[in-house]
Amino acid sequence: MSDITAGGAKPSSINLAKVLGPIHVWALGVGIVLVGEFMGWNLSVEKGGALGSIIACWIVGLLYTCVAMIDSEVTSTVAAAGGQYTQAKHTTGPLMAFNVGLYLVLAYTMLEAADVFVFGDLVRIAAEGLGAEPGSVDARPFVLLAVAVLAWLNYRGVFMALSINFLITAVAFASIVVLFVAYQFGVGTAEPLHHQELGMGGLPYGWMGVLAAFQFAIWYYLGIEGTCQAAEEVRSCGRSLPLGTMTGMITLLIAAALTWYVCAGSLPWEYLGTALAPLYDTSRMSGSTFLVVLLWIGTVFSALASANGCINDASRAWFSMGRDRYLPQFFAAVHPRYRTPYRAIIFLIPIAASFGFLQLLGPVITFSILSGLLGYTFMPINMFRFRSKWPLETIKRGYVHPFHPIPSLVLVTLCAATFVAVYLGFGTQLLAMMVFYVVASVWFVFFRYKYVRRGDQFTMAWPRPRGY
Amino acid sequence: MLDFLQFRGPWDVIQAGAWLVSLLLLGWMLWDAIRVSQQYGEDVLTSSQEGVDELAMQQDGQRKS
Repeated sequence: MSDITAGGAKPSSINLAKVLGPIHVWALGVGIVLVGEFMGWNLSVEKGGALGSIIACWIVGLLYTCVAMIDSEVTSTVAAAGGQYTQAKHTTGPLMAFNVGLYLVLAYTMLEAADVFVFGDLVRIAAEGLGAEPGSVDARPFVLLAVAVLAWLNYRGVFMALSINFLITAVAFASIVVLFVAYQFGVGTAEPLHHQELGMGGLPYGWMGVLAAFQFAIWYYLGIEGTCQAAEEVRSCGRSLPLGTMTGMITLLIAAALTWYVCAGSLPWEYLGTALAPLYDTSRMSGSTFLVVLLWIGTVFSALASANGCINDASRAWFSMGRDRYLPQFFAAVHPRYRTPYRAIIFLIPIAASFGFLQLLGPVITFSILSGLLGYTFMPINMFRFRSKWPLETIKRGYVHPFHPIPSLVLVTLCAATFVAVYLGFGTQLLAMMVFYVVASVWFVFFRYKYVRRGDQFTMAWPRPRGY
Repeated sequence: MLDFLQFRGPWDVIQAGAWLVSLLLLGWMLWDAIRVSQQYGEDVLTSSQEGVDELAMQQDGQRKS
């Protein structure tokens, strides 16, 4: 590459910087997700009770383990930004790729909007706790501040943005571990955990309640698949991506189990199912000021880490679609100094900020989850096509996931079950979203596809696919 | 008309500071993006190639030299 040249000479080509390692991949994946441990997952308790929630947590954990395994194998060979979008254009076709790209951008941008809204609201709550008159503090300047600072970080370079994400994600994760240790060993806590007395023993709504809990158990893991957006910027894609993704998934399984254990053992399930910030509430039950402050910091950091990762992922997906002319090529620009997709980052700022200002947490996060779920449903198709077109002996993979096709079959089955659960709770939103994607697809086919570089978009140095 | 400049307490100042810092950062990004677009041609800015492993190419170059 002849990009950044010495002596101030103008470059002839500019690519994204390859500066990331496995810890950045871990920070990207876990950072996006961990906010779901601090809030959101507990709505599954309302649907299925405490026991139903942990069953749903494990089953959906299996869904995401399949997602991580499939993603790790395909992405270890597709060293390009765009993640599942780039995979889709290689394995399936332009219309699928366009839709997957939209799923990604909307899932991450809506999640970012929800994160910054939560951050603004947490600052408002803290201000009122510190003596501000109730209703006098506006959350909106803090929503915009979070978007602006995080976008600026991402604009200035991916290495610093994800290094900071690693630090704040680690602090947020540590706060969960400290809360668990405090309760489990009775350090600074007023009462021990008592699961049985708080209604842990049964399924109040039977197995139907467990199924209904699936849609909220997704919060424990939503976004781990975002690690593959970093594929073009990691130093060793074949090694770093699988390592960062799988360790991230293990971290999330541990965090989910610890979160459920301390919350279900200290809060009645009827309250837990409706709480806004269950981990923070659990820390308040301890009577320890240290734990309350630590969990407030953990909640704030998790929201910021998630928003930061979402800016990174949404901008890479938007950038990649611009590069292939699925969107105007204007968005495919890379900053010559910072080596980031700066126009895509700037373009998505007003969208995230305006949805954050609207303070519609429920619809925004539902749109994000449903878009993510559509993306997961594509993954088994992706895996089957990848293995059939390019069998193991034809391409060297950085990671080969075991027991194929079992993970793909498990994933598609669990996705179908989760769609049923979503339909039970958000049927109208699900149908409205499907209409949106159908309309977007029609627009793409009739108005945009003519601009797509059909031959140039197949960039991997792979042999001709089997059967072609 | 300029009521928003009348600060009633420290949180009003903090909120005004948050608006100001946000606008400064957003303004800087816009200014920098426009500046870069004026300094470099579109063909250069949009020249990134998917699947190009520059590290591998550098290592190959070092081995050859």
